[in-house]
Amino acid sequence: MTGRLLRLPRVQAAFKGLLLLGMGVFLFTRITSGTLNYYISQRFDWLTVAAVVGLMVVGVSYRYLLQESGQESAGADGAGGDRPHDYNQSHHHRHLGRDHSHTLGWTGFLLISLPILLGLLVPPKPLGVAALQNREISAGGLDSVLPAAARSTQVRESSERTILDWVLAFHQGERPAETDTADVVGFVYLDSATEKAQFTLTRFVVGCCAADAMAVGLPVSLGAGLSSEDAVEEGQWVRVVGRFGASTGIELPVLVAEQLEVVAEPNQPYLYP
Amino acid sequence: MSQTTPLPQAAAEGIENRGIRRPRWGVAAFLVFALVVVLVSSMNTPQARFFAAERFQTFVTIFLSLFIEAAPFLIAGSIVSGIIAVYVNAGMVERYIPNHPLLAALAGAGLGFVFPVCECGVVPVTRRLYGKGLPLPVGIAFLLAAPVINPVVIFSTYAAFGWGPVLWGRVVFSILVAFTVGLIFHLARPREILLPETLAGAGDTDYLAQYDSLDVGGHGHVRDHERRHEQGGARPGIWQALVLAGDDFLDMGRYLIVGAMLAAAMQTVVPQSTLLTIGQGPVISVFVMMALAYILSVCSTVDAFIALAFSNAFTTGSLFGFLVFGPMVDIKSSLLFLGVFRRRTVLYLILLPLALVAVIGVFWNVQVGV
Repeated sequence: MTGRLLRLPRVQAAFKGLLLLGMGVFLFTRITSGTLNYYISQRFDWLTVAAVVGLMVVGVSYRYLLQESGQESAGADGAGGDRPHDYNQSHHHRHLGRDHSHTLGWTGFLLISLPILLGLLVPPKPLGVAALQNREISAGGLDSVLPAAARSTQVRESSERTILDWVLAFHQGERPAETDTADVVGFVYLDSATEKAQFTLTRFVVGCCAADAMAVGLPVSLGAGLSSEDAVEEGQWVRVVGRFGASTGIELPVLVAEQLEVVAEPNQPYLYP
Repeated sequence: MSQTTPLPQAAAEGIENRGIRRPRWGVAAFLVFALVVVLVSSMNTPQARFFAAERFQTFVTIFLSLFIEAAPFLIAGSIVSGIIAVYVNAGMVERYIPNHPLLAALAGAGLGFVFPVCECGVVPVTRRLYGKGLPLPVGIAFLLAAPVINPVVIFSTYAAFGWGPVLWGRVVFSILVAFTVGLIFHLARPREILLPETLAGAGDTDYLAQYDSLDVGGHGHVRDHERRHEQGGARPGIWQALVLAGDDFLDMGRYLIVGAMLAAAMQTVVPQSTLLTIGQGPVISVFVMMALAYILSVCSTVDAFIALAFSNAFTTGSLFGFLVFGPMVDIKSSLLFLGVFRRRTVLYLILLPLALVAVIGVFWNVQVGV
C-alpha cells in the first residue's frame, strides 16, 4: 500500500503535517462560513475552535521533523552516510524489511482525508426531509430532553415558543388555550400522519451533534384565509402563525395557519433542548 | 542504546506471518466499498436517485457531525499521550502502588488519572510498567480501566450524555469490571500470563520492534522518542511530544473515521424502526452493542459520540455494553494484547469483561430499565 514516494521520511512528515493543517483549515472554514452548527450543537463551538488550534500546532510541529531530516540528510552526504542513528532508525523504524506502522500509505492518507474531501465535495446542508425517510417524528428520546426543555417552556410566552416547546407542552398533557397564538418556523414535511393536516412543520432537535438528532413536528392545516395555492413544497422553510384546533386523546392538536410565509433557512437550523 | 536491535529471525517471521496490517486495511476498504454499494443500489429510479442523493447528503452531514464533535477530544487525547511518552517516567507511578491485592487492583483501576491514555496508548504503558515489576493485577486493572477512567474520556462522555446514568454508570461499571478481572488475575502466576520478554523487562528494543510491527493504533515508538529525548535529540521535548501526538491522531483517526462512517451509514440506510426493534430487546441489544463496539474499534476518547448516535434507539444497558466493554476490548486492542500477554491470557482478557459487562447490561435493562 505504501508507495515508494511515501516511504521517504521527508515526504511522510510533509504529508502528515499538511494533512493536519488541512484538517485545521477545514474546521476553521466551517466556523467562518457559519455552517458549523449544521453538524454540532452551538454549545460545543468552542471545542471546535480548540481543535483548530490543536491541529494547527501539531501540524506545524512536523516542520521540526522536516528540518531535522534535512539536516541529517545533509550530514549523511557529508559523512558518507556513516551515522549511528539516522532518521529512518530514530523515527520511522524499518523492521523486517517493512516500514514502521506509523508510516501512512496512500490508503491511510485517503481515509484520513475523507472528512475534508466529503466536506468540500458535498455542499454543507443541515438534516432535512431526506433524513426523515428512515425515521419517525418524535419516535423516541423525547423523554430524555423533557427535563431541560420543560423548564424553558414554562417561562416562554406562547408566541415565543418553538415547535419543540409546543410538542413538549402537549406531551406533558397541556392543551392550548383559545388565546394561544403560535408563531413557529420549520421545514415542510408532507407525510400522511394526520388526515386533518396538510403537512407537518418539522425541526430537528440536537443535543450534541446531528448524529443524535430527533425530529419534532406540528401538524399544520391551512386556515380559511389561505387558499390551496399557498401550498408549499416539501423541504421548504416556512413561518406559520396561527391557533391550535381542538384535539382528542394523545393526538397533537392541529395548528391552523392564519399566516404562512416562506422564509430563508435559519442560521441555527436545529433546536436545542 | 541508540541502535534498534533487530528481532530474532523466528520472532520476525512470526510477526510477519500474522500479516495484521493488510487484513485490517482490507476490512476498512471492504466497509467503505459495502457502504458505497448500499447507497448506489438504491439508485434505480429517478425518484430513488433523488433520495439517494439526498440520503448521501444526510450521510455526509451525520458523518461529519460525528467527526467534528470527536476531533477535539481525539487531538486532546493525542497531545496528552505524546506528553506522557516524552516526559513521564514509569518509576514515578510504581512508587505509589500499594501492596495489598484489593487496594492494588483498585489503584490500578484508578491509575488512568495519572496516565490519561486511551485503549491504544494503555498497552505500551502497561507493558513498560510490567517490565519495571508492576504487580500483575494492577496492570490488568489499569489496562482495562484506564481507557475510561481518565479525565479526557470522562469529559467527552459528559459532553455527549451530560450528568446522568450513562456517565456515572460507565465510570462505576468500568472500575468494577477492571477491579474484578484484576483480582481474578491475582491468583495467577505472572509467568503463565505474560510473554517471556514482558517479564524479562530487558527486551526493550525487542519489544519496541515487536510492538511497532503489531502496532495498529498507535504508540509503538514511545520508548524511542523517550530515548531520543534522553539523548538530547535535535528537537525540543515539546515538539517531539507534538509530533507523537500528530502520529497518534492520524493513527487513531482512521478508526474514528471508519467507525463514524458505519454509524452514519446505519443511521442513513437502516430504518429507525428496525433499530428500535433490535435495540429494545433487553438481552439482544446488549450483545449487539458489544459486538458493534468490538468491530468498530473506536477510540475511547470519542466513542461516547458514536454511542450517542444509537442512544435514541437502544436500551441504556446496551449503551453500557458499548461504552464499558468497547474501550476494554476491541479488535485493535486484542491485537495489541498479543504483544504483551500469552494467547490464552488474551482470550481471558476478552471473555471475562464480555461476561461481566453482559451481566451488568442485561441486569440494568431488566431491573432498572432507565
